[in-house]
Formats: sequence, C-alpha cells, structure tokens
Amino acid sequence: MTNSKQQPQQSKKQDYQVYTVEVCPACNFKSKRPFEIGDFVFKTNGECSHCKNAKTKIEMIYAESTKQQS
Amino acid sequence: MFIIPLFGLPGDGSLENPIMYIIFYAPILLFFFYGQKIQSWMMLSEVSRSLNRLKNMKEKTRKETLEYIKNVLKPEGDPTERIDQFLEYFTIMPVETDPSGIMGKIEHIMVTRDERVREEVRAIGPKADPVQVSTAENLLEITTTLNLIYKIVRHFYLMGKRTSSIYVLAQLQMLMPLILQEAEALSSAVDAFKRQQPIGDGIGAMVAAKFMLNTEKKTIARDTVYSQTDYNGRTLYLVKAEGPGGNVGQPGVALERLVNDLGVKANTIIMIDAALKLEGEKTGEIAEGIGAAIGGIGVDRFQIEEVATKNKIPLYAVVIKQSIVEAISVMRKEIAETTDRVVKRIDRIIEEKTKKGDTVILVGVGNTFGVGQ
Repeated sequence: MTNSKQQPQQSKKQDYQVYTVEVCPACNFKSKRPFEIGDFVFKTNGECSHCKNAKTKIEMIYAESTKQQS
Repeated sequence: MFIIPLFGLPGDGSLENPIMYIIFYAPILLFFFYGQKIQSWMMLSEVSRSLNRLKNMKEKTRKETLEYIKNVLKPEGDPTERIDQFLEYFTIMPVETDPSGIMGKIEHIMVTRDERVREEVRAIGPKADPVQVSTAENLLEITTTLNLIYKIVRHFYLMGKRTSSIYVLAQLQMLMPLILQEAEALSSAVDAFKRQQPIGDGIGAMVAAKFMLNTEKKTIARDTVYSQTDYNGRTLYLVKAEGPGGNVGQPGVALERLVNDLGVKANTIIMIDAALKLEGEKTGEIAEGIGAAIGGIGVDRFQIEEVATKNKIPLYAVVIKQSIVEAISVMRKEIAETTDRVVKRIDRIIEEKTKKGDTVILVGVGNTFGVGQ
C-alpha cells in the first residue's frame, strides 16, 4: 500500500506506469502524478496548489507506456 | 553435405554405400508409417506447454484473489475452502429449442447468478464497503473464468492424449493462441481490479460521467444511476453504472424504466461503448454507427432494442476501438484522451439529429471501475 503511493505502478514486463491527472476547475491548472490507491475519475481532491481557490478534480487515470517516455 | 566425405561415397556420390542408403531412406519410411504419431506427439507437447501456462495463470489469479479477500474483506475464518467451492459454480442457460420468452429467462438466471455472487462475497466479508465487494466480485469472476478455461482445455488435451486423436489435438493446437490471448487478458486485469483503476471498457461510462457532473444522480436499476440536465436546449437523460465500484449495471432495465415507468418521451438514444478493434485498427479510434452499442450476453441489448422499436426512437452508437487486452486492463492513455473527442461527436450528433426542446437519452456503457459520476 505504502509502496504504491510512492511509486507509479508498473506491469510485470515494466512497460507502463499508471498516472492520475488532476485539473483545477478555477484556473484550469493540470497536474500529473503517480496513481494512488483511492483515486478515481471525477473524484474531488485537495486544494489547487497553483491558485489555491478551488479543489482539484481527477480528470483522467491512465497507463502510459514507459517506452514512449524514454 | 559434410556426411559425404565422412563415409567416403564411392564413384559419383550416388547411394551405393549401404549406410547412406539407410540414412536416406529410413526417415522416409519412419515418416511414412509413424508420421501421424510424431505429429500428434509434437502437438501434445505444444498443447501441454500452453496448458501449463494456463495452469500458472489460474493459480496466480486464485492466489491474488484469495490475498485480496483475506487482506481487504477480512473474513473471520479462512475463506480458502469457500472460494474454491465458489470457483466450481456453474450457470445453466435456459432451453433454446422453444425460444419464445428466452430473454426474460436469461435475464432472470443472470440476475440470480449476480445476486448469489454478491451474497457470497458479503457473507465472506460482511464489513466490506460496496466498492470492495464489487472488486471481490470481479476478481472472483476472473478466477472462475480462468478455472473454467483451464478445465475445458485440459479435458480436450487428455481426451486427445487418451484416444491419440490427431483431429482433437489439431483443433486444440489451432485454438490455443486465441485461448491464451484471452486468458492473458483476464490474468492481466487482476492488477487493475485490485487497485480499482479504470479499465479500457470504462470509457463509455467515463464519457457519460462527464456529462453527469454537477447533476443529481438517482438509482434507477441495480447498480445503475441516471440524472437529468439541460444541454444546448435539449433535455438530456444520462444513464451509467454506479461508480467507482466495478459495476456494469443494468442499462436495459434503466432505459425501460425511463421510457415506460417515468414516461420520458425520448426523441433519440445515444449509446457510448468500447468496441473490440480489428487487427490493424488503431487503439482509441472513434466510430459512429446505428444500433444498441452494448456487449454482454444480449439481455440489455434486447431490452434497449425493444424500447427503441416500440417507441420508434432512433438509436445512435459511438464506439471507442480497443483490443480485448486493453479493454480489461488499466485504461491506456490513448483511450483516456478520447473523452473530449467523443464528447464533441455526441455534441454534433445531438446538434444534427435533434432540435431544441427534444429529449435525448445518453447511455454510457461499460465497467465503471475507478470512474465516479
């Protein structure tokens, strides 16, 4: 549990990582971070780190290929 | 070629040497008399390797399901025996020789089955929340399916071995790549299910959920919610399975209730779902069509078609292409990023196919793992 919160989940073949994309409805600031257990799409999260005016919403959770990144 | 100088062929190198004669003709005779046997041995060994892979997948999935149930559902005793019994559960489909009313019978059996699975999980972990229960249900379904696939393949393998029937083995060998692909897809889904991450199949539900934001949601069928909103001068009814648990809901029942019980006079029904891509097609391609875009055993599709036909409501479909593996594993970036493009397509369909004041029902189909509303 703790490990999954610190590191992005990787498949057995280590070919993808799972990310959570959060969006602030007030300033449209987008942030991408590793997936944490308890995240779900359209979940309202904490205060926006950018404008501090609104709570962020999870817009997407997806697996991204690590091959594309390197 | 190096054999020729080794045995020192006399004269022009023809097969006059008796040893060379045997080396040349023995395999021909061997294959002539025992060719089929050799072929069946090779098939048996190939199927046996695949069967071992299936067994490993089945065992790994069973172990992970058990771990999830023990760690998350926290049963009072050891649930191993009960889970193993559960893996042997079967469903007998209704008689098809008299097809009249068969969809009702199938629905009844499927609802009973789903209820039984849920009761079983609740009995194992009475303190578990609905999301944990649905996760355990999905994990058990994967394990049961893999167990069934393994047992069927093993049955034909042993039958082919016992009867030395090359025809049984040939069919099995030809089907094995497809069976393994399906099994691997199921096995890889376990990770996403345990972490309650959205899967590729959930894209339809995700699009509907986007329309549903900031609206009041009400339950309309088992694990299914609906809401109402105004959209470009039209009244929009939105239907999806209740998330973020791993539910597919009953979109067919929901649509029946909306139209028949709540008296919604729909002018158009739009369905959004994931669709299996053909080899060569790109993941995340969007396609539009006509008809009820919904998979499964056919009950929901039948119900939706019935409602649409009786009330003469046009049915439009928008599908997002993906492979079977992508559909049941963590949603790929290419699929997640189609959401806005799908919304634009729906926007265009609504604009072109309806006029202001019309009522539209939008159904987001798919497993809502990791997708709220």
